[in-house]
Amino acid sequence: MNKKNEKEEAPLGYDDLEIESLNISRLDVSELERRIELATGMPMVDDIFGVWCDCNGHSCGCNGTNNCGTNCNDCTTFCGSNCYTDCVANCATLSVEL
Amino acid sequence: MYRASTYNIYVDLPENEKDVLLIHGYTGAYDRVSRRVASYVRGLSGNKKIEGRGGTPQQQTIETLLRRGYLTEKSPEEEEAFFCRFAELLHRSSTQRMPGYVFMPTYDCNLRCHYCFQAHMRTEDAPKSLLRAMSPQAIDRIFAALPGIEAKHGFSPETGRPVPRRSVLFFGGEPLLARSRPAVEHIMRRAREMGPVVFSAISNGTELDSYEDLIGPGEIESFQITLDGPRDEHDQRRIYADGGASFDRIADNISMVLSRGAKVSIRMNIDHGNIHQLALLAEQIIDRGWSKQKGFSAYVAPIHSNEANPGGGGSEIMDSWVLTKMLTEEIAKFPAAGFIGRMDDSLLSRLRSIFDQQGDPTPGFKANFCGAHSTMYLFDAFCDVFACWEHTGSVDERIGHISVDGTFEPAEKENDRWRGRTVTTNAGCRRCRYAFYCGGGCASLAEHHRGEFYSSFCDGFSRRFSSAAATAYSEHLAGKAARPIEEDTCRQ
Repeated sequence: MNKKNEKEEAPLGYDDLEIESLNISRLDVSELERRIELATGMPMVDDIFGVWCDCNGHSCGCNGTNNCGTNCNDCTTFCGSNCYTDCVANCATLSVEL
Repeated sequence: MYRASTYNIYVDLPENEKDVLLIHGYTGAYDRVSRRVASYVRGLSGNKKIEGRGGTPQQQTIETLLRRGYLTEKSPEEEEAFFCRFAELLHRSSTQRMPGYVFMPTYDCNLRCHYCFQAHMRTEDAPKSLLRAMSPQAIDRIFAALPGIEAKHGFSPETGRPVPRRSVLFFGGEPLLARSRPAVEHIMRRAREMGPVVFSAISNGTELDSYEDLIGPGEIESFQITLDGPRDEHDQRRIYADGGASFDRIADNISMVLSRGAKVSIRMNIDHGNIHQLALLAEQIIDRGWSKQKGFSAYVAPIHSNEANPGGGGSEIMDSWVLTKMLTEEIAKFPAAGFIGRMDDSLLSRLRSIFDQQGDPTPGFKANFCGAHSTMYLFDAFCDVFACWEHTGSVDERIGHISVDGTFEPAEKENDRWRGRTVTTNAGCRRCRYAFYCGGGCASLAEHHRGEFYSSFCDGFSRRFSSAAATAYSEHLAGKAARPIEEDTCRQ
């Protein structure tokens, strides 16, 4: 095997990578609005007055009273009202219904 | 047709010349890209059409860049409009959190620090009535107003959102003067009658011995106390009205507070005059055994120029980025001082968790700088309500008043001004790639430095963010132990 062929057959190494995603690998901007809605508990519409996810029932176990069930490592709100995990009451449909 | 997003952040990696960290300011994407790809994306910024060295990346890479938001088909105006909608949502979300209450039992203080933003309240010309202590009647009025305030933020029987544990912070003046104890006790009693509550205090620490039985778990359980250097330096800066020294008394009280199981966070207000004495202060802290005690922490903050003390009251001031760099140099010379926290340790921890857990930063995004723009309420002895502790004492700056019947009556203009400041209320922040990490900077300092409340106060944030991101990534790769994420407090 000559030198050229050796290079062609070598697996793609670190140095050859153009981009490596370091987080949320499935991120797609087309789904960004929905992700933001889940993060904030609010629909991304022009007028959100009076619309607020108040079920306080999050799938991680947070009940909105500072008592987190699973101690999310990256919960930035001390398990208050802004837990971004999917809501038990399926508020994921919030924006669609509105 | 696509272009580079306005909100791309490019971070050089000091230990890796081949790659660049590419971070998106609102999609939350973090990627390592080759310098060639970074160059290509940069070349598509604004109106530029500069082909990066090495030409167009592979189609798969282009698709990834589009999917993660680094390349966009939106026009700059369309992208800014989307950013503003996202920001508005974040802001409204932040206003629907539980309010945080700050009680100022008095504006009086027994110290006369040269940089104090409230110094004007204690001059010979200032009305003495301003320094009176909070009366039991005033305290009762304030507590009567809390359910109404909480309802404004979505916590009421009608909304079905139960009130979480309340947070009461004592602030002043000096809130824990011995003579204020009856007011402090009354506040604690009334708070407990309303439900679960956690107490904390920002105190100069001089008279805490008068509160010993009110300190510890379940009582006042965390303190921020200032030491502005080792004993000799501190005693030049934080002096009594007669010029007397305060270090030893404060130090004794810090030991007492720690022995009672409460947390103590030492704040060091830093300028060019005392930065080089941090090592000596660290030695004194170590000698007293504080740094080994559970619940002890220390951090630095730069002395700022403010309205009451233009130029920092005679200090040779620095911004947060300079302070971060200088502290790093000091710790390199005296590693034992490594327990002293930097301004951006919280940011560093959050960035580290993104790399370690491949996490999503969007839940931590913020569209406003601090609680002054969402849920912080400061009450003074006159039942006036303020949004920011740098702006207290003046009726003109209050966001409202508690009426005799215990109702919060907003002062519409000031309330709207404070609660309405977000990253969308000035053109610079609206187009800033760091905005959701920074929140627009301190409003008080923005107004002082730029003469405009609705302007930004960047405080070296772009350099601080880039440095923190590069450090976090480097530490992640090296497998270095991560620091715990601490609650952000106002460190301005």
